[in-house]
Amino acid sequence: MNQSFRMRQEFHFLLKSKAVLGVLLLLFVISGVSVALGLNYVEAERQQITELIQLDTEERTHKRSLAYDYGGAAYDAFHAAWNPPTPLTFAAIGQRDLNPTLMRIRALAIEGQIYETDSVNPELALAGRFDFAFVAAYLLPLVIIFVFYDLLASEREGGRLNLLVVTAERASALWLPRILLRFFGILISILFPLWVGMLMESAAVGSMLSASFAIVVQAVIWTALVLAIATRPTFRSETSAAVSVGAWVVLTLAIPIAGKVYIEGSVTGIKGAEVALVQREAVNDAWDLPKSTTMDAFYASHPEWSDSAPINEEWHWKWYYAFQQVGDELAADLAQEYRAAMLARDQLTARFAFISPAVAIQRQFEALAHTNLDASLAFEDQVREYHEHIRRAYYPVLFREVPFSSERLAQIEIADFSESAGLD
Amino acid sequence: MKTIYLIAFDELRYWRRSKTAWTVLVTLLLISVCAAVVSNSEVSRRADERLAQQAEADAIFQAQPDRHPHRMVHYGHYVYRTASPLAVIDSGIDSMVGTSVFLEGHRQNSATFAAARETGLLARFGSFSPAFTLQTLLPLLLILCGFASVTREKENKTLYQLVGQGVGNSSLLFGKSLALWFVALLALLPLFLLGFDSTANEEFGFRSSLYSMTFGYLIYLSIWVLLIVSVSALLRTSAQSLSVLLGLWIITVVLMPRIASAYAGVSAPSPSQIETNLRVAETMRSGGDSHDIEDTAFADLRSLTLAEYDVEKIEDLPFNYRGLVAFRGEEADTEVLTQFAQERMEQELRQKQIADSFSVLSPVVAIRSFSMALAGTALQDHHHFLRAAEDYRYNMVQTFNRLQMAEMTLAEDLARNDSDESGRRTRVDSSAWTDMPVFELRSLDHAQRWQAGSNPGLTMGLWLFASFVLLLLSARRLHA
Repeated sequence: MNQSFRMRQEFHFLLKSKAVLGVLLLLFVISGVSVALGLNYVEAERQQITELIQLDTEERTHKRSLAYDYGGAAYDAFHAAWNPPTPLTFAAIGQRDLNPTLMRIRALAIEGQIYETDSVNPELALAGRFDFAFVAAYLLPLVIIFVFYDLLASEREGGRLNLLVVTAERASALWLPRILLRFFGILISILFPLWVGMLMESAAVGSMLSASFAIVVQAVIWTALVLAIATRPTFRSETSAAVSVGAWVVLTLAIPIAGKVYIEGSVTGIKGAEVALVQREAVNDAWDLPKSTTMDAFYASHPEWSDSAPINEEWHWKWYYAFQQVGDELAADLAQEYRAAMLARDQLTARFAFISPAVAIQRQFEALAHTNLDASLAFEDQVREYHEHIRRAYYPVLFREVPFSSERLAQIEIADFSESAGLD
Repeated sequence: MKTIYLIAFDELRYWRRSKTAWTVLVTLLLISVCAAVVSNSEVSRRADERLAQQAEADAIFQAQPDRHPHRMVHYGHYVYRTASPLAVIDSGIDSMVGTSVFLEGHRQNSATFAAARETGLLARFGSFSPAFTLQTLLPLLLILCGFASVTREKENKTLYQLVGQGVGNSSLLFGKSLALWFVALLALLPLFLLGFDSTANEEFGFRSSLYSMTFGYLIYLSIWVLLIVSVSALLRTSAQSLSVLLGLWIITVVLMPRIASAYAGVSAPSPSQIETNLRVAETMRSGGDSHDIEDTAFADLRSLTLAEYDVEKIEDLPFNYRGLVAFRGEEADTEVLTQFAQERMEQELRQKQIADSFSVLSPVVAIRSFSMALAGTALQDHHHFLRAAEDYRYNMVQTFNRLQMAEMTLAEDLARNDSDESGRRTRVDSSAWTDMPVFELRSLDHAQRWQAGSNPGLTMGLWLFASFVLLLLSARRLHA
C-alpha cells in the first residue's frame, strides 16, 4: 500500500464518518462565532473611544469657556485617555473588561483617578468570555478527545483490528494517515475563522504566525495525550473517553482553580482600596496643616518652583495643586506595592501555565493580543505620564501667579493622549 | 414499586464491585469536601478583610476634628459591601464587582477594586465552591456513573433476562434512576451541612433560602439523572451513550453560559461608564454650581426664599443661605445621578434577562441564576448594595448641608477664609460625625430572593417535566 493511496482512502473514510465531520463542523462554527463576537466587541470599543474623544473635547471646551481662574480651569478640565484594542484583541479579550481602558484624567492627585474602571455587568462577566482563546483552551481539547478517543478501540470493537494489523506493513502506515488527516481537519476548522478575523483586523503576519503556532502546539499536546490514552490495548472505547475527559477536567478546570486558590492565598495583602484611602487622607489632612509644611514637601520634589512667592492667603490654588501632588507622593510606595503584588500573582500564574495547557494558551494569546497584566500596567504608565504632562502644564501660570486672562489660558496647550502615549 | 427498589439496589451492588464507580464516588467525596473547605476559608477571609477595612474607615471618619461641614461633604466616607452568609455555597458575582464605594458630595462613584482584576487570568476559570462542583462537575460524574446503566444490560444480553423475569420497562428505568439519584443526594449533603452552619443566625431568612437552594439543586441533579438514564436506554452501545452524554455536557455546561452572556452583551449593549458620566455632566450643566450662591441657576431659589421669609436680602434670612444652596444643589444633582444610575441598573437587568432566557436551552443557565439569586450573591443584591450606599451618601451629605445652614451665619460663612479666627467660627463640633450612624447593609429578605429566582426556578421545573416525559418515552422504545 503506498502512502498516497492510504491518504485518499482515509479521506474517503473521513467523509463517511458523520460523527467526526459533525464535530469538525461544530468546531468551525463555534470558532467562527467566537471570532465574530470578538470583532463585535472590539468594534464597539473603538466606537466608544471615538465617542469619548468627541464628548470629552466638547465638555472641556465648554468648561474652559466658563473659567475665571487657572486653578479652576485645571480643576474642571478632564482629558480623555484610552487603551485602544490591538489587531488581536478580538481573539483574547481577557481581563480587558475589568481593567481600566477608558478614562478621563485631570490635574488632581492621580492615585484617586487611576483605578477607575468601567462598570461591567457582573453576571455577564462571571460566565466568562466567549472569545477565541476560550475556544482554544476549552473546546479544542474536547474536540481532539472526541476525534481520537476510539482510534484503536473502534477497530477492535468492530472486529477489524487484527486483520488491519496483519495486513499493514508497518503500524505507522496504518495509523499515521488517519491521525494526520484528522489532525489537520481539526487545525483548519479552528484556525480558518481566526485567520479571517485577523485579516479583517489587518494583523501583522508575525502575530498571525505566532497565534497559529500556539494553536498547533496546543493541538499537538492534546493529540499526544489522547493518543497515549487511546492506544492502551486494555482500554475499551468508553474507558479511554472517560479517562481523557477526566484529564481534561483536571488540566482545564481543576488545576487553574486550585492555582487561583493558591495564588490568592500566597500573595495576600493586595490593597488597592488602601492606596486610594492613603492618598485621600493625605489630601484631606493638608487642609489642616500649615501651608508651609505642604509647600516645603512640594518644593523638595519640585525645586524649580521653590522661588514662588510665599502664600499668605487662607486659600491659594498653587497650594491646592501642591497638596494633591504631595498626596500622590505619600501613596507612591503603597501604589508600587499594589502593582508588585499583582505582578507577583501574575508570575505565579505563569508557573501554572507549565502544568495546564489551558492556562498556557490563554496567557500566550493575551500576551499576543496585549490584553494581559503587562499591557494593562503599560497603559497605566502612559496615563501616569500623561497626568504628569497635564499638571505640569498648569504650573507656570499657578506658581508664577500670572494674572488670569482667557488669552493666556488658551495658550496652555495640552497634547492629546494619542500624542502623549504615541498612538497612531 | 418493590421492583424499582430491587433494580436500584442491584445497580448499587454492581457499582460496589466496579472500579469506575468507586473512583467516581471517591472523587466526588474528595471534591465536595475540598470545595466546602476552600470556599469556607476564602469567604470568611474576604468577609474579615472587609469588616476590618470598614471598621478602619469608620474610625478615621469619626476621628475627624471640628470642621466646616462642607469640608466633610468633600472628605467623604468609604462603605464596604458585606457578603451574604450563603456566599460559602455560591459566591456568585462577589469577585466580579468592586467591594467598596467612596461616598462624597455631588457625585455617585462606582464600586472599585474588583477581586477578579487583582487575581488576574485565573479568576475567569471559575471558583472552587460547592456551587461550581454541583453545577459543573457533578453532572459529569453522574454521566460517568450512569452512561452504561441500561446499555450495559443490552450489551451483556441481560436485558432479556430482566424482561423475562417480568420487570416492566419503566420500572427498570426508574430503578436505574433511583440508584443514580442516590449519588446526587450524597453530593448535596455537604452543601446542606455547610449552609446550615453558615446561616446560624436566622437573620434575613437565609435559612429558608438555603432550603430552597438545596431543593433547586435536587431538581437540577434529578434532571441530569433522568436525562442520563433516558439516553442510555435510547442508544444501543455504551460508547454511543457516553459520547452523546459528554457532548450534551459540553454544550449545556461549558458552552451555553458563555454563549448566553455573550449574546446578551451584544444584543443589549450598555454604554461605558465614562460616556454615562459625560452625559450626566451634560445634564447637570443647567443645574449650576452649588458652591456659588451668585450662580444664575439659583436665581429662582433666591427670590422664592426671600418671598417666603418676607425679607429683602439673603443676609436677613434666619439661616445660612449658602447652606440652603448647597442643600438644593445636592438635591437636584442627586435626582439626575439617580436617574442615570437607575437606567444603568435596568439595562443590566435587561441583559441578565436575555442571558437567563437561554435556560430553555440549558438547565445550567437556570440553576446558575437560581442559585445566585437564593444565595444573595446575584446582580440584584449588588444593585441593592449600590442603592443602600447611595441612600447613605445622600443622607450624610444633606446632614452636613443642614449643619451648614443652621450652625453659622452667611456672613461668617463668607468670611471663613479671611483669618484663622474666622475659619474657626465656621467649624462644627466633631460630635456631628461621631454621632452619624455607621453604614449597615441590610440584606434583601428571603421573599425578594425567591422572587428573583422564580423564573429560572420555573424553567427548571419545565426541564424536570420534560426529562421525566423523555424517560417514559424511552421506556416505551426500549425493545423497539
